[in-house]
Amino acid sequence: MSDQITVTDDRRAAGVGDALVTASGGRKVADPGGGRATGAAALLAAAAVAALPLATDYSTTYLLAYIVIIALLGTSLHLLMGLMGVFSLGQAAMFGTGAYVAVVASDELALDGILGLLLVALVGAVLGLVMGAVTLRVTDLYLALATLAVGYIFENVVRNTDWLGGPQGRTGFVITVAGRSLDDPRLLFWVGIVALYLFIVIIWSMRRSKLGRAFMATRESPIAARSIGIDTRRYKLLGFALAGAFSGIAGALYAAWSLVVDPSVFGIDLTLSVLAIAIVGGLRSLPGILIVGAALTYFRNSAADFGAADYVLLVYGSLIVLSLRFLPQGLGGLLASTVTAGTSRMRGRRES
Amino acid sequence: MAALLEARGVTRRWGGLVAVNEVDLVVETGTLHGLIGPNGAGKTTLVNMLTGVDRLDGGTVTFAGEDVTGVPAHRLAGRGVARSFQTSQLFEDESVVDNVMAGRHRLIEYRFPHTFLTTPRTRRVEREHRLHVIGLLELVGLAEDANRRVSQLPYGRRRLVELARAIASDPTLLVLDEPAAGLPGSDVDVLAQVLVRLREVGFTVLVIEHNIGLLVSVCDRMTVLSEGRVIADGDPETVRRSPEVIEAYVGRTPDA
Ligand SMILES: Nc1ncnc2c1ncn2[C@@H]1O[C@H](COP(=O)(O)OP(=O)(O)OP(=O)(O)O)[C@@H](O)[C@H]1O
Ligand SMILES: [Mg+2]
Repeated sequence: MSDQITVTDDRRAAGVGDALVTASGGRKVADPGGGRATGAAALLAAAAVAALPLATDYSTTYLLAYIVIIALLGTSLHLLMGLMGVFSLGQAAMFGTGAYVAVVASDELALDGILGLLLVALVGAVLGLVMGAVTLRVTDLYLALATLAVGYIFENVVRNTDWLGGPQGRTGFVITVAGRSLDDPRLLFWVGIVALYLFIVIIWSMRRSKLGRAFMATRESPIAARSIGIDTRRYKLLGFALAGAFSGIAGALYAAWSLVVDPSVFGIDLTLSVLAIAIVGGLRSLPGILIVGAALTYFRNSAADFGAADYVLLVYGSLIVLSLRFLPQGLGGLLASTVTAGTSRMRGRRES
Repeated sequence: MAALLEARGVTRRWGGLVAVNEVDLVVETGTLHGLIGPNGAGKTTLVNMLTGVDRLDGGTVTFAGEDVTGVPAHRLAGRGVARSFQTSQLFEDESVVDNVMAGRHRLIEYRFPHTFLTTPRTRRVEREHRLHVIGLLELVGLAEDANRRVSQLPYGRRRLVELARAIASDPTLLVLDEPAAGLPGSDVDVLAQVLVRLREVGFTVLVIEHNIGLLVSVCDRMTVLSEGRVIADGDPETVRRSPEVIEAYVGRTPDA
């Protein structure tokens, strides 16, 4: 495929406005998605990350699997807060629901993990839709509190449902994928990484399509968005549904990882630590969130080895304060401006 | 000529204040229609109702022969009503190109799964539209700023982005709320040229101004609003000489 097209190929986009702009011919349009080199580098990095468990020992692989779960949650937070600008704290409810649905799917329905995960995604999406619908008319603090409340309600309901194990939750379940148990951290990691890569491709594609612009427009100015034909409610619901599916999958994998599922999966702790990651990494930057998510989760789990176990919260807190003060766009913002500066310097050199 | 937009008895109250009072307004297809009036006359309130941004307290609106009273903004936009805002409603953190690309939302069609997975088709359609948008930016003199973030632009340029975004949707009816407000002289010239060009290629435009002088030379027809009521309507010269209009503007500067 050619990377550039000319005006003569442009008939498809014709309308009244076409008469306005047909004057200059043969203009070139840059592909906004960055060059082929960037794509190749990203593929290489993705393959290297996927191959990591081949080189690591059991406990490190176990940690890697956990990092992937955190990354999945971070991705859904990026979608809701970064792309859509919706300050939702409902991830905990979606995550917990995903965990319980996965356990029920394997224990009660004897579904294989693949079908189980599809079911989890579906239930998560429906839950997301409901949360989106309930909060359609509220924003900001009210939305945050309303979505947070859903988590509390679910925790309470599950705690009082004997069938789901009550306050002790459930254990002794085996979640399998294609007949093999997910208690093998390598397999868990790979299943997680497939889901993560799928989410990344979806988000990355959306950002470059009308969907991403619709999210962006809704975030930046709902009035203007509606005035250019964007049904802001529909996109909010869609975003919530996707985030619900993503978070649900993260919860399902968490159940497989921790081997127990109890009402604490609906707790706010996890949401808050992922929120910390997203703030330090940059809500709008998926690479920033992924890098910071991996680094902080690694640090948190290995802190004892450095004798820093007592300082984990101090480090998290300081990082949040520092990044809010010095890097409001997080690490991702810093990365982006470094890259922009680098390319414009290169361009300058080439032109002179 | 056929009426593209027809408002009958349109009314809006803010508490005790009747901001728009039984207003009739007919915009004919292919015309450049000026809506003028002093500050607080109710111009913005009126077009907010015509474009589905605000609800009506009374009256009806017909667009392209269909009753669209109370139809929400995004539906009207889907039918081809585009507008710009008096107070900036840009997507601040995004580039000029992306702001204007968003304006093409209703025209971009690649369907599932192309929206969720970038495919050759997504790329091709996006490029076609981006090309169109860049042409549009050249038209309004924003080509140089295409990749800059809107928040980095000076005020006048930002107004032009808003104009370009509204035009980008290839609207059947384009409504501009004081596009010239705060523009430096050079950009006012660009704006006037664009308005003339829009009419040449067959757009129907409703432009709001509180300044009579600016529009008299370019408009086909003018409606004057004062204190929520239509006080004059017709061709620009007649409107400008009408005693009601002169009186409404007494103590202000009619021509600037
Ligand atoms: N949301 C609102 N709530 C209460 N009153 C309002 C509201 N919007 C407008 N008004 C009042 O309605 C009247 C008409 O306002 P509007 O903004 O429509 O005037 P305008 O003709 O657009 O003026 P300008 O030239 O200053 O833009 C004014 O008296 C204004 O104070
Ligand atoms: Mg106004």
